[in-house]
Amino acid sequence: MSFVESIGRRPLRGTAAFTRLAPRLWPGMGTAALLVAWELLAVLWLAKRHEVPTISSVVTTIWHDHFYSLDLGVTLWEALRGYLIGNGLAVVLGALALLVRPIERVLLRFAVATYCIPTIAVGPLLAILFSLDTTKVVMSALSVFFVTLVGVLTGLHDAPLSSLDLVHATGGGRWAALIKVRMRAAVPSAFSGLAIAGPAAILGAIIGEFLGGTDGLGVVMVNSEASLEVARTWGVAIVATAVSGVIFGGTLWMGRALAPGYFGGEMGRADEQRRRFVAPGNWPWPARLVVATVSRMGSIVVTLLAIVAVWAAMVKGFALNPYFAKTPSAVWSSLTSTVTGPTNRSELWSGFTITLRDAAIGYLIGTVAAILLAAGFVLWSFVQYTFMPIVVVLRAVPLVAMTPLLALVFGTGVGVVAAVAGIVAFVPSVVIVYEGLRSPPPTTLDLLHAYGASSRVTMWRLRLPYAFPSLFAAAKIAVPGSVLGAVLAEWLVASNGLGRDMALAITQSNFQILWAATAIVTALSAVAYNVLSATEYGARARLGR
Amino acid sequence: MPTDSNINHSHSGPYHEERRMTQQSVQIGGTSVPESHSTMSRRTFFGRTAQVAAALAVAGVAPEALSGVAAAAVRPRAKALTPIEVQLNYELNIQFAGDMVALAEGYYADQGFHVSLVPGGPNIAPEPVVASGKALVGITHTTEAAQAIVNGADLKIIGAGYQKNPFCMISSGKTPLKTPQSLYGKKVGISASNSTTWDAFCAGAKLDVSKIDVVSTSFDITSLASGELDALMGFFTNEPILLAAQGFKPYVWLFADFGYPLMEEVYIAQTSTISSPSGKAELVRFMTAEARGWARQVKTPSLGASLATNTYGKSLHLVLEEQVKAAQAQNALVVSADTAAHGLFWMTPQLIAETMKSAKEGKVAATASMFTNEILAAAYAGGKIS
Repeated sequence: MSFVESIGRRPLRGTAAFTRLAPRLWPGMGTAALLVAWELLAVLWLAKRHEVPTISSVVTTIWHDHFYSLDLGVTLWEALRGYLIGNGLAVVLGALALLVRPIERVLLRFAVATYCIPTIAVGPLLAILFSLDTTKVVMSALSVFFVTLVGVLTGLHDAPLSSLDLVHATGGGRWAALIKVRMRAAVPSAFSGLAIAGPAAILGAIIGEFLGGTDGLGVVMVNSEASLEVARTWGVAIVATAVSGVIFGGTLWMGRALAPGYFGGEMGRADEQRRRFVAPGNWPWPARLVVATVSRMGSIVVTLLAIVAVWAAMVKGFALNPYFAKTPSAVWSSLTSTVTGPTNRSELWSGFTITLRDAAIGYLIGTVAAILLAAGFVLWSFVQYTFMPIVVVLRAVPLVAMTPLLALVFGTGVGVVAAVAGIVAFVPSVVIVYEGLRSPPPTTLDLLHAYGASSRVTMWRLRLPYAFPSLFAAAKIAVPGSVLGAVLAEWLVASNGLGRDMALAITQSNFQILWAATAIVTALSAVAYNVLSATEYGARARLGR
Repeated sequence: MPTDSNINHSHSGPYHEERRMTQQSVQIGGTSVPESHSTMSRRTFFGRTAQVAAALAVAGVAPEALSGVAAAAVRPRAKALTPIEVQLNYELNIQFAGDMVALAEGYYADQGFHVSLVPGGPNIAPEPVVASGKALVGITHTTEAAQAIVNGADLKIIGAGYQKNPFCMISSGKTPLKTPQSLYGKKVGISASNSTTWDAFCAGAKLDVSKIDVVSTSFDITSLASGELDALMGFFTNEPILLAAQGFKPYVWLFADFGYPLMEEVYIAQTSTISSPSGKAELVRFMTAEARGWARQVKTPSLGASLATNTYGKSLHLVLEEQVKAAQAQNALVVSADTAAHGLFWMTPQLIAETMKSAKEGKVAATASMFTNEILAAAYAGGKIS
């Protein structure tokens, strides 16, 4: 049984005493404990510092503001169009890639690039190309394309071989296989992508609203912060989170209803490695890892070239004003010229090291917490019931809404940046590592069970080694996520780092810095994604999978 | 669903009927635009003609999303209106009161414009939007405009909404920090979008920035109230009034009074627009409407306050009482002896020289050629508006 499927159902294993205690109570109790802690914090300490309003004042504000229904409608309308366009493209292109195989790799290169670009940085550029409304839709579409594409591709590839053989044996071609078998097989996996895409679309729209607007959750958020209306800022964040959560949960539920065998897997299993050169299985695993990494280098280079090509094509194709639209070569020369080069390089380098440090701190904390929690999920079912709702909420929360609030608690330095990066790393890692911990074949579990091994020994000797590849599968999503989360936090609130340099560059018309920083962040994320993807593959190979 | 983006903000039904008849609007993406513009914009998608871009932008606006506030006409008009965009640097609050008045009272329409006031936010810079031709005019910070021109933007400053620098330093009334030097060793909040101005001020006031603990804030005055910050750079018409309304007693001093005079909220336009006869004529008409809007606002501050609270900035949950106070405070920045003598927005040689000096101290190499009263002179040819 899968992670998501197991939510709210009887767990397979766990301490019997706890599981008999009406497991359905636990999610409620976890949430209730959180709310009580909030209220106590707010009343006893933080309210004096205007940081955390009491629950009652937030509820009153939400009620008084009519649940932000007008603004919610505007934001959802932007997000919905972005969701439909981004996901529509992902589904159609994903299916096309199955019919015309060479498309797939190119497509994934571009998709990875859309995932790795800091959306907030391309907003001001899009605002020049499109109307403000269209800009928000495009930002929303950019935010969903990758997750859905990976979900769709994974699902299309994972079609049962026997059914595919049957289609081919009866004379069916790729088209028939796609329509008759793959489409159906792709439903569960596609829905796990679509579920993540819902909150992502809303997040993209809200980030877009930071460019301006008369209505929308992001607009209200910006103004409520400026107006010292802390309760309203929280209110908007809560409404946005709740709606995102409902969409996330609803999509999962729909996927489960449509496909009973739904595995609820995370994104990130796109099997692009399949047709790659693979070292023979009798080689020592470090050698195989090196081979896998080297064969990945080509992909990395292609990804980077793709990014540069799209960038150059946009600037040239739209005949943009060279004052703000810098070509790759213009940025390169601004970094290498003897006049501006040294200043620009040192500014970017210092920002880069800060961003990298803060993202790394956040990633490590988030990942360690995720591993511990995932292990807790396996060992004690009450942990799962208690913390699961919180993980789902964190998955759905629009980070842009939480960042200013986190800044109030963690300050505007490394604290808030690491916190945002950590949350971004934590959520997918919990899910992916949990699935990894559950992945040992039933026979091996039975064997240890037969020998009377405790669940802790099973965890240590069997589950953790089996979960090893999933650490990289998680990292492949979490590392770029941490970097992008760090940049977002820096852009919005922090006092240093690449994200802050980018925000400054816009107000100072220092566009070569903006473009260079965007390119660096995108390249860094894309390289991390590809390297970790290769490492994951190597690790799986080590386990013979 | 309304078929015309105007409808959302217009007060009169009959006007629309008439406009639809006279212009034969076509339907694009749920909105209608005059036919001539729509067909043209398809051919030269992303062309840089201001008019085309503006028409296109109107076409792309979905009615529900209200990404720009469209002209609200109050009287029927037989002549076709030219759609233009004005890029603001913030959300539609009292800061743009005169623009809202001009929109609501039909002053723009009187000059033949269908104006979209495109709201800004913390992440937008108006300069690229104007330089690309998407917006005819932008309202922005002076040093940012000058920096953009230095960095290659083909723009000019054509008027100053504020004669006096509205930036101020706010500290707690209980522990007031009364001079720039008193900020040493303190934690001071500067938002990223204000940082160019802050850097310039530090140079102008001869402050050693290394002695100040500068914290980037995202328009967040909560941290001042919470005591996390000792002082906060703010806008004279915004943060002090909000803080006072929250029961926090602020101590405020203006940058202008400590060696940093600067015109602010400047109007920018493309140099090519100014130098072309038709472009210049458009700018003159626009600035005429703008001056009328602001003149009316100065006389009746509550008008713009009410428009911001109840009409255009409804989503912002503004408080009328605060907006009226802000509007009254704002008048002190908008009008001066110079505007009484020459008309609103006028940039006297002295003001330009002071502004250049202040900007230069912030390492922004502003030059006199960046400023021109040419448009205002033409707009006030038949009598100044003040």
